[in-house]
Amino acid sequence: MAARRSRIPATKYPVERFTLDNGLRVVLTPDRSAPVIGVAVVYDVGIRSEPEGRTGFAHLFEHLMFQGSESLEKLAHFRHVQGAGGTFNGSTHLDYTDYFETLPSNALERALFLEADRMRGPRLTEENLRNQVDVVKEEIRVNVLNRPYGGFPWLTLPPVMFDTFPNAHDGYGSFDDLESATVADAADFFRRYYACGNAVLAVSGDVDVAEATELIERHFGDVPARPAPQRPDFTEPDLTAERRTSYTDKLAPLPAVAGAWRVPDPVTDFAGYLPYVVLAEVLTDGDASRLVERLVQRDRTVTSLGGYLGFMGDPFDVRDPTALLLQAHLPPGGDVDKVLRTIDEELDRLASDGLTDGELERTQARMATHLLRDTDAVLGRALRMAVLEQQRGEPGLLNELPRLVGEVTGEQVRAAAATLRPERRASIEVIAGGAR
Amino acid sequence: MTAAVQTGPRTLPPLGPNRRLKPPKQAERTLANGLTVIAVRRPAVPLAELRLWMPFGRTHLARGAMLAQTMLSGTQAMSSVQIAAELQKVGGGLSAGVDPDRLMLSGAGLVTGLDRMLEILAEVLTGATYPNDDVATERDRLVDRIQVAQSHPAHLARTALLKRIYGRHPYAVQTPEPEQVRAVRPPALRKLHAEQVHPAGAVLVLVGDVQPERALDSAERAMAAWTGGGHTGELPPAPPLEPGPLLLVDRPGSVQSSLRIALPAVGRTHPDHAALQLANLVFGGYFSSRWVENIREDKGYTYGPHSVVEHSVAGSVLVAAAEVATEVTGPALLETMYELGRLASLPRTRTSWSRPASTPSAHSSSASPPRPAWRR
Repeated sequence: MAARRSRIPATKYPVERFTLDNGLRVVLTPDRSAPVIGVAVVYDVGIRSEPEGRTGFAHLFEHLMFQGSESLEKLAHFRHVQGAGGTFNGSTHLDYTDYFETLPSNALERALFLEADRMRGPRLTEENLRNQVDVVKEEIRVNVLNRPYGGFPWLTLPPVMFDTFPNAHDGYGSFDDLESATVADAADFFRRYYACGNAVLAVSGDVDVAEATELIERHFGDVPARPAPQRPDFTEPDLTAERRTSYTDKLAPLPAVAGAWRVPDPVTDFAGYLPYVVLAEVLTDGDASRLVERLVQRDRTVTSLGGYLGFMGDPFDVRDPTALLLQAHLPPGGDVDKVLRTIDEELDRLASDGLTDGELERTQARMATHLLRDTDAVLGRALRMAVLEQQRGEPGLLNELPRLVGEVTGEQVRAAAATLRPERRASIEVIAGGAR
Repeated sequence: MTAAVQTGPRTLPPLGPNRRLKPPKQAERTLANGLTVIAVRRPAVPLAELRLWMPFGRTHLARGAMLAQTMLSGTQAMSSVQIAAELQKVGGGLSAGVDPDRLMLSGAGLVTGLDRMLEILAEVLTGATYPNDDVATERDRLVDRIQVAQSHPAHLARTALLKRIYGRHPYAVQTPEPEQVRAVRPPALRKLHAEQVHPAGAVLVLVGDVQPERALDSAERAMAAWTGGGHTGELPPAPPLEPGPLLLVDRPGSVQSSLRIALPAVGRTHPDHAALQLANLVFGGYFSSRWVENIREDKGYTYGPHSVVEHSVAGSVLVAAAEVATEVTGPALLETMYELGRLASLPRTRTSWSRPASTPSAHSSSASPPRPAWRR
């Protein structure tokens, strides 16, 4: 009996695109249902672009973008956004860096002013740089050094899988490199990568397209034109032999392991890439997924399990080279070899027998829920559309994702599983140095 | 465009007039079994969100945690895998969690599957079986998760702080010890479920692309067979804070100190509540606060200091939290005391006024109460 498929719904977010004379690309997606806006500026520079000897610089520079700008003192950005009832943040990824606000819609012009001001130039001073180096070191201590499994696997697995500096290095950065950073480095980084030709502005929510367009021209129109830098080729060949390392985490009470396999180019081979996105969910989404059922429920060799695309869990916001990752925490004394062997066995079984009746359809329905939920808040729409515009010139793809995921076939998922061979795998084991 | 590039500082544009917020349509009904259902229309995406809140105070700590961990592990008709697969079919999922006040079931799915989600939820509420095998598996997993939580500095600091705040009140200990979890057997869970998983006093909230009255009808149909009451779970009021000296908790090898300070607070309906919220924002409740500007943006001692008013049913407390480099622990504490003293003794200046807002998480601080790491 064929399983009945839940109809996969779609969103119809409107999309307006245009480019200013200075090269700044703009995406508008109006939604007047609540008096709230999302504003996102995305620069096409991330961890992969930072220079050797300057690990962590893209993220440090993100902090410096909040330290005042042409017309704004230090602290002014925070106060102006929050004083208008808004929230703000920024984040640094492998291939891009984003800056964003959610605000009541009466603060649209203010948000545009704030973003345009720092696009013209942040205030790069020695004092602010030293202050933010200290803050970033505390961020690394909180998120990596002072906690169990810090940086696992997003910082610890890339150097196993990749050989070149851009793909392999620690994106949070070493304390030595951070402390060596200079104001001149920052000015150079800004000049090279923070060109308006290298940026996308997206505004979502309660805006009138004509009025927003006029305001964007007014505030961003005279940002000096600078072209986007040539993006380097970050390609690396696939693995031809298994790579495996381990390290002791002295805070970790349980062993853990993560494995990764390269996947097709998410941008130039999107059709070849999508089956892997579905495969990760077939393997790990919930109690009815293959690996959870086998490793957690049946064998009890694993205590928690996850699977996803991209080292930062960003399937549609990352360029090649990237990977499908599986990670697991094991019970005390757990056997990592056995877990990896069982994963291989389950992948073999999927590759040879294919999916069971209804397995694909229910996974796709669940993925549709996740995709729709991510874009429910206006800011999520602005951020995702900005990156889709930047990497693909196609912000409207956001509306298509649930349907495209739903069109992936069982045969494609089976074929994807067949490529996840041990000889193409990079894996890293965490030895529980804190086990009691 | 040919506009000449303006140089020098530009003027911040004023805010426009406030635009009106149109509240969403909603409806509420109390069912014959005592369950209150609230449905809210939010048609932005074709999804439905579901939250079911049950009073759960005065519950044995380890049994309560294990009940949440295994409630979705099976019914007479379905195994844990079947429950998960049936929910997935309609794009849905459910999870359960517990805290000292309540048991909460949460889920989301495609709105076309709302009736099915409610049906499965009702089956779990009326017929969860706590199968022996699943309980054994989940017991070990919960123990593992508690061990991981205990290796996090934030968890250790919170555990110590709760004991200081609450003394002998049930809020004082919120994480069971591994041995207590290991002692929980399926019959105890079945008994706990029968005694306390009841509709009387519970609240079910549905939000999504629904017609509120019709969603209430769906919930009423699905939940009709769920009955019971009697466990109000009422706790005594939390004791007033008692000032005490600085408590040091050793965590060898730490590269930071986790500072936690508890201060008195009032509940949401108290006349001073609004003033307290504003005072908290000025002190450390959002990024543009004195504490963040001082110990992060001026001194660079820390990444995400924040303070928040935590409300529980039996009491409220204001908690200030910062992770600071070990070598500046003393100076960071001094600056914190300075800011608290300044706030209490000097009038606020005009320039630091800002409207209240919630703060984001990664770059700055978090305004939501910390959620213990061992809870899913």
